[in-house]
Amino acid sequence: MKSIFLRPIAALTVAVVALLSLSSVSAADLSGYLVGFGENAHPRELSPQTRVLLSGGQYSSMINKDGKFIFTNVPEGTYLLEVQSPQYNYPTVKVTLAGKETKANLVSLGFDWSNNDNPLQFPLTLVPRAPTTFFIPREGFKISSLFANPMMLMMGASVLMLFVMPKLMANMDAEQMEEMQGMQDDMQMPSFEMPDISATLAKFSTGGASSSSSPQVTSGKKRQ
Amino acid sequence: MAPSPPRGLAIWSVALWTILLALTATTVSALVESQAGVIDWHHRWIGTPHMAANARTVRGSNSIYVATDKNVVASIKTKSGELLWRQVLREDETVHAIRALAGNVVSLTGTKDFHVRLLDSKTGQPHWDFSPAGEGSSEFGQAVTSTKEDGNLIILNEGANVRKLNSKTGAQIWQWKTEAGSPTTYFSVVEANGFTGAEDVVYVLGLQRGIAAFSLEVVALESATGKHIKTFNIKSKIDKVEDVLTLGGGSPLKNGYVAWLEQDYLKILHLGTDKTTQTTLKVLISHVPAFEQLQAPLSFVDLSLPEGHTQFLLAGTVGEYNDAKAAVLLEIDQSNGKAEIVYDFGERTGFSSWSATIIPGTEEVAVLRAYRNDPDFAVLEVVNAKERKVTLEQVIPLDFDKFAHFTFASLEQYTKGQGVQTRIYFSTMDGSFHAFSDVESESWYREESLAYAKDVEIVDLPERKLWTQDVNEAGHVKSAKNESIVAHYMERLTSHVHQLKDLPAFILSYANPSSLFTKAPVAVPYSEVQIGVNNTIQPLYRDQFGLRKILIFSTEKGKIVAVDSANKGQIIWSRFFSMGHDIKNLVIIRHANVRLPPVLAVIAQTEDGGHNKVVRMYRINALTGKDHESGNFFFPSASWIPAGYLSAFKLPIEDPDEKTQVLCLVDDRMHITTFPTTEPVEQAFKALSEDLYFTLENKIGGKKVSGYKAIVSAETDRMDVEPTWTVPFPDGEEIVALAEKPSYEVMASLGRVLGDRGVLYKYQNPNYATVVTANKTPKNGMAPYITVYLIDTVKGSILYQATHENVGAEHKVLATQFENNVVYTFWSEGETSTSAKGFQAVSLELYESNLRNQRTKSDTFSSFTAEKPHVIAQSFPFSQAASAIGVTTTKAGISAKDILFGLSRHSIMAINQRYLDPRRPTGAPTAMEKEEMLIPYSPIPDDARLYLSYNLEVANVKKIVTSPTLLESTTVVVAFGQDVFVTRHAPSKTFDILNEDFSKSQLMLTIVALVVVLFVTKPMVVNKQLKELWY
Repeated sequence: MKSIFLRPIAALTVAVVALLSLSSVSAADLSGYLVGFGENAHPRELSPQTRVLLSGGQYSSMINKDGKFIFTNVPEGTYLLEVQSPQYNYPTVKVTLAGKETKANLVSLGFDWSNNDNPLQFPLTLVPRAPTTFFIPREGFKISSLFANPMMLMMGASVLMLFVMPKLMANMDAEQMEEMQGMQDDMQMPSFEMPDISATLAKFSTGGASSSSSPQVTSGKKRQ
Repeated sequence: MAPSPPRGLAIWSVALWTILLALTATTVSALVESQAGVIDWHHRWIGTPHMAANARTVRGSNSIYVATDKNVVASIKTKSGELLWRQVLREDETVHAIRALAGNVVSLTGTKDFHVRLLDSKTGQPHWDFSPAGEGSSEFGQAVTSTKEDGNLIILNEGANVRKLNSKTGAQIWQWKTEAGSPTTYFSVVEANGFTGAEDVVYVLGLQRGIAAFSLEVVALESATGKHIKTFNIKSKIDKVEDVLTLGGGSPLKNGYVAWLEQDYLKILHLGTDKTTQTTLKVLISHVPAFEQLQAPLSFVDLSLPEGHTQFLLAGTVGEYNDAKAAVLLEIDQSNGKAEIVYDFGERTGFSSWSATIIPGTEEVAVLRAYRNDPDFAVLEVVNAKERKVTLEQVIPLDFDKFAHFTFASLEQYTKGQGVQTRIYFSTMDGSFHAFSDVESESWYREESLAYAKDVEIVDLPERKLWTQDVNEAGHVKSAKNESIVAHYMERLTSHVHQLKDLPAFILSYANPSSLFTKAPVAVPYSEVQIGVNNTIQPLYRDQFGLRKILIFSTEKGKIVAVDSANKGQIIWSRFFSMGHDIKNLVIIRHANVRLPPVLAVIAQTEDGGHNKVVRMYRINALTGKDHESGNFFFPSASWIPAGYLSAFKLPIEDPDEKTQVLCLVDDRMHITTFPTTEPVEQAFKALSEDLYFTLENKIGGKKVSGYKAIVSAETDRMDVEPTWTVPFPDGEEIVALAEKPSYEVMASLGRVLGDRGVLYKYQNPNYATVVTANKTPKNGMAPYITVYLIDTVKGSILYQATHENVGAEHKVLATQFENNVVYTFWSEGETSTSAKGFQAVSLELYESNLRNQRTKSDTFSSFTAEKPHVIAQSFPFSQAASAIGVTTTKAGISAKDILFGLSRHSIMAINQRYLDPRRPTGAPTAMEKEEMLIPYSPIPDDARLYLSYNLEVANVKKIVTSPTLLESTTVVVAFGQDVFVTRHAPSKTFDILNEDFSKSQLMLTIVALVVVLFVTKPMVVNKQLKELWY
C-alpha cells in the first residue's frame, strides 16, 4: 500500500525549503509533484485545469508540465492538501509545516488527525487512486435480456404448457381426471372471509345489536 | 428475552445497510454518458478582454491570447472565436501583463503572490512557474521585456525587484532590487543601446516621489550580470504614471527614449544620457485644426507597440460638449531626439479606441482608430504611419442599444497572397468581444457580458395555442378585428382544411418504423460564439413539459441578455442600458397569459446630471426585449423616481387593466411607490398595507438587520415605510451569508412520517430568514467564529441561534433555506491541534414540537404568537470548497430535494437532502430508524457521479437558480457567475415520464412475437374445438 505513494522519482531534488520571511512568523515553501495514472503515465497528460489546494483554497497552485506544484511563503502550521483534477482521484494529505521538519500524512474525510499513519516522503509525490468516473453505465438492449425478462419467461412457460398439457391430459386415467376437476371446483369456491357489505351496513344501522347472527346465516347458506 | 445478536454481526448489518442505501441514493442523480450534452449546455466565458498578445506571424496567427478583468488568460481561435484554452486564475490573481514569446505566452499575475508563467500555446499549461517567495505586486509596478540576444526575460514586480529569467526553464539568472525604503517606484524595463563603458544595458525606469510631483529616475543595469552601472536622476515634474511612455529600445543597438508630459511641455529623454529635449505642446499642436477647441489637457495613448518603435499618440477631448476626441500620431526623430507629428487623426464624436501593429514583412506601423458616430454603425479606420494615409476605412454594423462604445481594440495584419489582410478584435462597453475580418465569414462576436451575470429571472414561455394576441391559431395575422361570425367560421374552416395537407406526414411520422428504433438523442457540438448579429426573433413557444424557458440575465455591465434554456443557449435578445445604469432588479410582473405577452420590469439606479440618484423602471416584453407599449397613461414603458433604490418586490395584487402584478418600490427617502398607481391599485394597497412587513438593506458586510412596515397616511395618501424592529449583532460581527425562502415553493407534506407512523410536524413560518455573521478578528486572541441566526422577519425575534468557533476567516460561508430546512457550510480549523480541518455542512430542521404528533393549536400560522420552533441540527464533514449553493424546486414539491453546490473545482454537485438529514443516526440504527430509511451518519459523499456538470469546467459559479417545470420530477438548473451552465435535474429520478432506458424496440418485438404466436395457435385451437365436438 505504501509503495504506491512513495514511488521514487530519481531526478527530483529536495523541494521543501524553509525560509525566514521579513515578518516574525516564519513561513516556508511547499512543493511536490503529481503523477498521472497507470504504469507509463507522464505528467504532461495531466489536465491544465488541475489545481492543488492548501487549506480549502486559501492557497492554490497550478501544475507545470512536469507535474510540479509549489506554494510559496506559507506560514507554519497544519494544512489540508487536496488535488482538484478533472481526470483522477487523488488522496488528501495533511501537511505539517514546522521549520525544517515538514511532515505529510494521508488523511481521509471524517476522521480526526491525531494518528500519524501513512506518512509520505519528500519530495511529495502524489499518485492518483483511480480515474474519476462521472457517469454510470447504461444497460443497452440485448436479445438475452429480452428473454431474461420475467414476463417473457411466463409467456414462454404458458406457451409450453399449451403444447404439453394436452399430451399429459391424454395420458391421465379417469380417476385422476375427476380428482383434478374437483380441485378446480374447490378453487372456484368463494372465500368465506369476504366481508359482506349488506351485513356490515345492517350492523351499522342497527347499532350492532344483532351482530353475530347474520354472518352465520349467510355462511350457512353457502355451505350447502 | 431474545439473546442480543453478536456485536460483529450488528456492525456488519450497519455496514451493509449503509452500502445498500448509498447505492440506491447514488443512482438517483447520476448521469449516463450518452446524456451528457443532450439535456445540458455549457457556455464558457472569459470576461471582457482588456489585454491582447499576438504571436505576430507573417501568415496570420491561428489564435490570439487575451487577458480579462475576470482573471482569465485565454487563447481564442482567430477564425471562429472559439476558445482554444483558458486558464482561470484565482479571484485575487489579477493579470498585469501578457506577452507572446516564441509561440507561447508569458503571463505576469497575482496580487498577494506574484507569478510569472510561461503558458503553452496549445494547452495553456505552464511550462514553468516563477514565484518569488514573499513578494507580491503593486498597482503599476509590473513590467516584462525580452532581451534581443538570448530571448530571456527581464521582469519587474512590486515596483522594486528586477530579475532576469531564463525563458526556457524559468530559472533566475540575476536579481537586482532597490534598497528598502527607497522613494522610487519603478514601472518599466527596457533594453536599449548603452553609453561609453556600458554596451549591453537594461534600463529600469522609475518615478521618485518628490514634494509636489514625481521625478524620473533611470537605472542602468548590465544585461548579462544585473550589475548596477549608473543611476540617472532626471530633473522633472510628473503628476502620474500615465504621463510617461517608454519608447524605442528592444535591442542593444537601438535608441531608447522616455517621453513624458510636464505641464505645458512634451519632454523626451534619450536613454543612457542626461539629454532631454522639450517641446511646447501649444506650439506642437498649433497647426492641428482639430485641437482648436481643446477642453482638457492632452494625454498619451499607449499603443503597446513592440519595442524598437517610437510612434505614440497624443489625444485630447474636444468639441463644444466635451463629446469628441481628437488625436495626433507622433514619432521621435532618431537624429535629434525630437518628436514630430506624423499624422492628424482629426476630430471624431464619441469615444475612440486605439491599437497599433507592425505591417508584416516591413517595419512600418499601422494604427487603428475605432469609433462610432451613428446608433447603428461603427467605423474602423487603419492608418499607415509611414505613408501617412488611410489604408482601410470600414463601416461595420454595431447596434448601440446592444454594444455601445468601444473600450478596447487590437489590430492584427498579415499577408495573404500579395495583399495585406486585416483582423481587428475589440471589446465594447457592454462587455462583449468582437472580431472583424476582411474575410467576411471570419467575423464573430462573443457575448462576454454573460460572464458578469449577477441575477437571472426565468420566464415561462406561452403555449402555442395561447399566443394569439396578434396571430390566431391558424397562423393568420388578424387584420380585420370586426369580422362577422360567419366570416370567422369560414376562415376557421378553410384554415382547418389547409391543415389537412399535413395529415399524411403526421400519420407517416407515427407509422415510420425507423422512428421506433431511433436511439436516444445524441449531443451535438455547439459553440457559444455568435456569428454576425441576429436581429430576427422567431416566435417562442413552450414545449410539452415546460422544460423550455427564457433565462433573462442582468449583468454588472448594465446589459440584459435573454437566453433560450433549450437550443443550446441561443441568445434571443440583448439590450444594453446606457452608461451608469446599475441594474438592481428584474421582476416578471406578468406571466405569459391568454393573449398577453409576459412583461419584465427592469429596475435600475442611475444618476442625473447633478449626481443625484434616480431609480428608473422599464417595462419590457420578455419575449422580444422591446419596450412594452400599452398605450395606457398609467402604464408607461419607462418611468423614474428621484431617489435611491432600496428594494422592489411584487405584491399579491393584480391590477385590473393590464393584468400585471403590482410592483412595490421602496426608495431611500423611505417612501413607497407602486407600479402602476391607478385608483383601484391604491385602494388594494391600502387594504394590504396593514400586514405588509419586509426587511430592507440586508447585505453582506452589514452589522444589523431591520424590519419595516408599510404605513399609509389617511389624509395625504402618502405611502411610507416605518421601521418596526432591529436586530443589531454584537461588536465585530458582520453578515457573511443571507438566505431567504425560495421565490417559488410548495410544501407537499406538512410533516415527517416517523418509523412508527407518528408524525413530526414541520415548522411552517413563511417569514423567517437565515443570517450568518462572522467575527473574523475577535479580541482576547480567540479564533474567528461564526454565528447563525434564524430571524422572524415580521416581529424581529430570534428563533434560533448557534455559534461555531475556530472557523476559517478567509473561507466563504454559504447558506440556503427551503421549507423547514436550513443548510450552511463553513471551513472549520478544528478545536485542537489534532482535530481535522475541512469544510463542514450543517443542516437544521425546524419542527413545531420536539414531540411526535404534536401541533400548534391553531388553524393558521401567525408570526405574532410566541411559539419557537424545535430545531434539530447536525454537521457533516464536506470535502468540497463551494462558491454557490442552491436547492431544487419542483412544481408540487413532492419530489425529493437536492442541495446544489457550485464547487471551486468548477463543477456543480447535487447532494440529496437525505445525506443532510440531521436525524441520521450516529450509532447503529434502531428498527424505527431503519423503517424510516435513515442513512447512518457519515461524511457527505464525495463522488464525481454526483456532479451535474460531469467533467466540464464550469468556471466560478456564483449563483445557482432552479425553476420548476410542468413535470413534477424535473427542475431546470441554471448556474452562472462566469460560465453559464443549464441542465435539467430530477432528484427522485424521472418517475413521471418514460425512462430513456425504455426500449421501444423491445416492446415492438414482444408485440410481434405475440401476433406470431396468435397465428400459430389459432388453427390449433380450432382443431381442438372441432375434435371436442366430435367426441
